[in-house]
Amino acid sequence: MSHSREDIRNLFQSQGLSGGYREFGERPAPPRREQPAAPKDPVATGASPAPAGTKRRAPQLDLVRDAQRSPAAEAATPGSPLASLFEHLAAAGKAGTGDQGKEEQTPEQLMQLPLQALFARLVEQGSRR
Amino acid sequence: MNPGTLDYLSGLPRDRGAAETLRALCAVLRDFGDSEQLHSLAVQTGRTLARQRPLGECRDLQSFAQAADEQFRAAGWGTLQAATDGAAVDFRHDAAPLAAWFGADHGDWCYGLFEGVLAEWLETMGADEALEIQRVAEASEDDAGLTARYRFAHRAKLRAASGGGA
Repeated sequence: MSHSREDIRNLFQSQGLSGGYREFGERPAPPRREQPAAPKDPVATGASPAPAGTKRRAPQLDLVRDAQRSPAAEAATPGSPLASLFEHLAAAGKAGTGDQGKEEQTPEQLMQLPLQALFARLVEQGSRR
Repeated sequence: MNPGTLDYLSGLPRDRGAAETLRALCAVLRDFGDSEQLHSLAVQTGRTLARQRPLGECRDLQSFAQAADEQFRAAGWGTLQAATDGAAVDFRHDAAPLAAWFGADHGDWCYGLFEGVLAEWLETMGADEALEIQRVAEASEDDAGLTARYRFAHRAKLRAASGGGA
């Protein structure tokens, strides 16, 4: 499919790109004026209407903030079906098993562990990868 | 000279020339054998020294470290401290005599001496044969090599930490 210059110009203008497509020597098109958003029905949104003359801001796009949110974080946001699963897993992890309790011993407690128990623990550590 | 006096004098330690002799012996050994054999020799020597100085019964690591430290001090070997995180036991040997005995350039094989001492004591306490003790070299060694560190752990962990194969 071939694109004429007119097609390309229309494409740029439809995207609202500043400067737009222009021929050599052609002056840039004037910037498009921001169209005020049509006021929504305050009853439907539950919000109080904005005072007269207030310009409503478009939602801010934060590429950095949005990039930092991993899919897992997205899934764990309130309302996500995985949120309750993650909460359950976190609670299970904190409850701990016998081994988990062993892992949480302080260095001082380990110093007072019977030597045979300490040796057994060191041997067990060797089998872990 | 009466026999009592003779016995007393013959029983006195003759330490004065010992350090100089050890340094000379170390230099000869270094040229004579490879470091692995020398290390093994040092370990066996350490074990012999440990058998001559039994610790007695130790209930836990704290009492073991205390008893070992007392023996180190009594023998003039310096001081010993122990700590553990559950995965290994780290020993810190301060005022170590290796440089004084064998010279500042004694080589790593000399650390086998106290590896042997600690290994013998730990095995007497019931340590599994899979557990070994190894000197740990640190990037920032202390002044004049007066501090040495040893780690007691499963041999697989020690090899992994030193970059060797399991």
